[in-house]
Amino acid sequence: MIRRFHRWPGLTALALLTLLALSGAALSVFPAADRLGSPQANPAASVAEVAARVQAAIPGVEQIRRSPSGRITAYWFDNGTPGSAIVDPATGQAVGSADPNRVERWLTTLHRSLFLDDTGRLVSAAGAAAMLLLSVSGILLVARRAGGWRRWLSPLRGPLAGRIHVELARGAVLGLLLSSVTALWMTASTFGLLPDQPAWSSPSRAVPAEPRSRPCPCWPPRRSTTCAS
Amino acid sequence: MKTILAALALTTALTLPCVALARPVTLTTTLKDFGGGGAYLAIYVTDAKGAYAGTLWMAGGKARYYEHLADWYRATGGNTAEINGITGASVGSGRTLEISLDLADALFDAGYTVHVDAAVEDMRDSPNDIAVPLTTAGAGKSFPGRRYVASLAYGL
Repeated sequence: MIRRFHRWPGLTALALLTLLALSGAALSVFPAADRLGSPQANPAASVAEVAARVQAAIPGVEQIRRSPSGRITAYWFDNGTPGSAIVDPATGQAVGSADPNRVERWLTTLHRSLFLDDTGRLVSAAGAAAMLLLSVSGILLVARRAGGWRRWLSPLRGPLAGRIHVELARGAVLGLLLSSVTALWMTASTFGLLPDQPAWSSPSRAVPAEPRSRPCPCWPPRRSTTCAS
Repeated sequence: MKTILAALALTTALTLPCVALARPVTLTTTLKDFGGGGAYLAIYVTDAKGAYAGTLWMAGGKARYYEHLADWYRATGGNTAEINGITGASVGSGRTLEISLDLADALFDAGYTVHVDAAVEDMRDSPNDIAVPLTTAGAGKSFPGRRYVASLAYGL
């Protein structure tokens, strides 16, 4: 019974999970590269000092954000033209573009939606659900194969391929569980099933206000056709 | 019968001038090759005092991201009733959005301005990326935008 829950999701989701795993592994390099590649703030410097330096270097600065990687980004308006850049907290000077890397964007789109927008997001989420099912059924199968929960980590007997599979899975299963659960969490967030903030990392300045009245009884205009090419 | 005729006369009187005094306009927005995902665009009109008058088009389907179109969002409170039936897909990098609509003559040469707010995932929001006054003289000309909008033109 449990074996069936391990075999069929494994066979059907093989290609999808391979694609998601490879793209995910490639993507995982970027946060580390961000951390190494961006100037880090001196831990002794206060927010006020860093903000004052950025303000001096970029007069129209509107917002300064620190990402989890320690990268500090400034957002400004220069005569109405919006700009943004990574800043060096030691000098306040802009040191690089804040726009995401094109390769990273391409990989992100592949990983989360397979270039199919919401349809692809659901397919990716189904892959994550298959991974979760495989992990849980795998944990149960290892317990059965080893002869009980207390022997879950004990040495194995049997054919080499099976031993290698179980040894690798023992090391990876916690990570796989975490990855699949966080993937399902992010999908739920994107589809608005969780009470959290929008996932776009760029800051928003919007302050809602009451709508104003219409200028002309002829509003709204009649639209005949629209097309985006 | 009399009431129907009266009602008909009244509604005709209200709608006919609008139809007669409107002109077909093609609004073409071309985006720069900014390299991100699809851009959300809010295309709306303000009056001579700068007050919000109404929305012409919303490109982008997820209402939770509309707050990134900051000027539009501030003017409308993010009220999706403003854009009922006039939303479409977000516009990709380097692509062109073309809208055909009938605009009232009263909107031309009277200080009304077309604005485009633009936002792209994980990139800088660009409220008021372009503002173009609606004038008969400006028809057919191409106006340059700031960050994501390469150009905007309206043809009469």
